[in-house]
Amino acid sequence: MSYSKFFLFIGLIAFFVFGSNFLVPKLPWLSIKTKQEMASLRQENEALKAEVLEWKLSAPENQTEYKAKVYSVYPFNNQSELTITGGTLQGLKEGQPVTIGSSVLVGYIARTFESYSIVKTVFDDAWQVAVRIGESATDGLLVGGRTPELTLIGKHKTIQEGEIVYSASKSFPYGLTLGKVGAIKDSANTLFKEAALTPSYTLNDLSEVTVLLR
Amino acid sequence: MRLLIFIILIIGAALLQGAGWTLFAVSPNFFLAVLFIAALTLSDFLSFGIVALVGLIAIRFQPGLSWAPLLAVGLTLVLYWIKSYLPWLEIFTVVAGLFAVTFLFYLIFDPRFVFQHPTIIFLEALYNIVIGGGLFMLMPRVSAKK
Repeated sequence: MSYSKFFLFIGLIAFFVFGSNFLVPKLPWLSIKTKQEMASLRQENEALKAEVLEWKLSAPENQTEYKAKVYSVYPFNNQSELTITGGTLQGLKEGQPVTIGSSVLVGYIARTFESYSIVKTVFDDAWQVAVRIGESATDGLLVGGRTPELTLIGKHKTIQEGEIVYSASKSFPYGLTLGKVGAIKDSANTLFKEAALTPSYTLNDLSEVTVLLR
Repeated sequence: MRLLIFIILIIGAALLQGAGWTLFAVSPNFFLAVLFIAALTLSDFLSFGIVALVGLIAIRFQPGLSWAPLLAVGLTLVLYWIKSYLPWLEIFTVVAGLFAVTFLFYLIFDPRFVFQHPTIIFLEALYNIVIGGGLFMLMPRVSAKK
C-alpha cells in the first residue's frame, strides 16, 4: 500500500469519526428534528411510566373499593338479590360488603362468577345482622325481609323513630348505615321491643353500588 | 294476530317483572300469568313455543342461566298438554289453575319460601289471577276482531 492510499484511508476514517461531530451541528434541520424526536420519546416514556404507576395502584390488591353497576334485580318474590358487574376477575369475593357510596350497607356478595356477582340484600329473608341504634348505641338484631325489622331490642332501652341504625357485626365494617328506625312495637307480653327499619333507598333505584374489598 | 299480541304481552310482562313493581311489598308474576293464558288460549304448539322463547329472552335478568323463568315455561308447557283433558275451559280454570301454578312454582323452586311466607304467595296468586283473568276475558274479543 502506498503512503498516499494509506493517508487517504486514515483521512476517510477520521472524517467519518470526527467530521460528523462538526458537520451535524451545521445541519440545523437535522438537529431540530432529532431534538424534537428525543423530547417526544422522553414525554412518551414519562407518560408510560405514569400509566404503569397508575395501573399498579389500581391493581386489585391495592384497591379498597370496586364500583359496580347493577345489572338487574331478582324479579320474583322468594329472594331479594342484585346481579352486579364485576366478579372474580375483578377481585370480588363472597362475603364482601356492598354499599352505596361506601357508607350505606345494601348487602353482601353471596356468589361470584368470572364477570358478575350475586348480592344478597337487606330485603332478603336470609339476612340477619347485629346492629346498633342511635347515639345511645342500643343493641339490636336486624332481620331482613320485604319489610326489614329490628328485633331483640332491650325492653328498658329507649329508641326513637328516625334514629340511625348502623352495622355492629364483625362481618362488616363497624358503623355502616342501614336505615332509620320506623314504627316501634312495644307490647307488655313480649320480652323485647321491635321496630321497622326504613332504608333510605329501594332496590329498583340502584344503578351503581360500591363493593368494599377489604 | 293472537300470536303477535302474545309476543307483545310477554315482552311487556318481562319488562314489568324486571322493573320490580310491587303492591304491598309483593310483586305479581306478570310473566307466569301471560304464559299461562298463552298456553290456555293458543291452539298450536309452535305459537306457544315462540311466545315462551321470546319471554325467556326478554326476562333474562342475569348473564348466567336462571332456572325460575325456565320453570315457569315448564309449568305452563304442562298446562298446554293437559288443557284438552280439562273438563271446562272457563274463567274457573284460570282462577284455579293460576292459583295452583303460582304455588307449584315456589314449591318446586323454593319450598322453604312456601312454608315461611304462604301469605306472600297467596297475595301473589291473587294478583296473578287478576292479571290472567283480565287477559282471558279480553282474548275472545281479540280473536273475534280477527
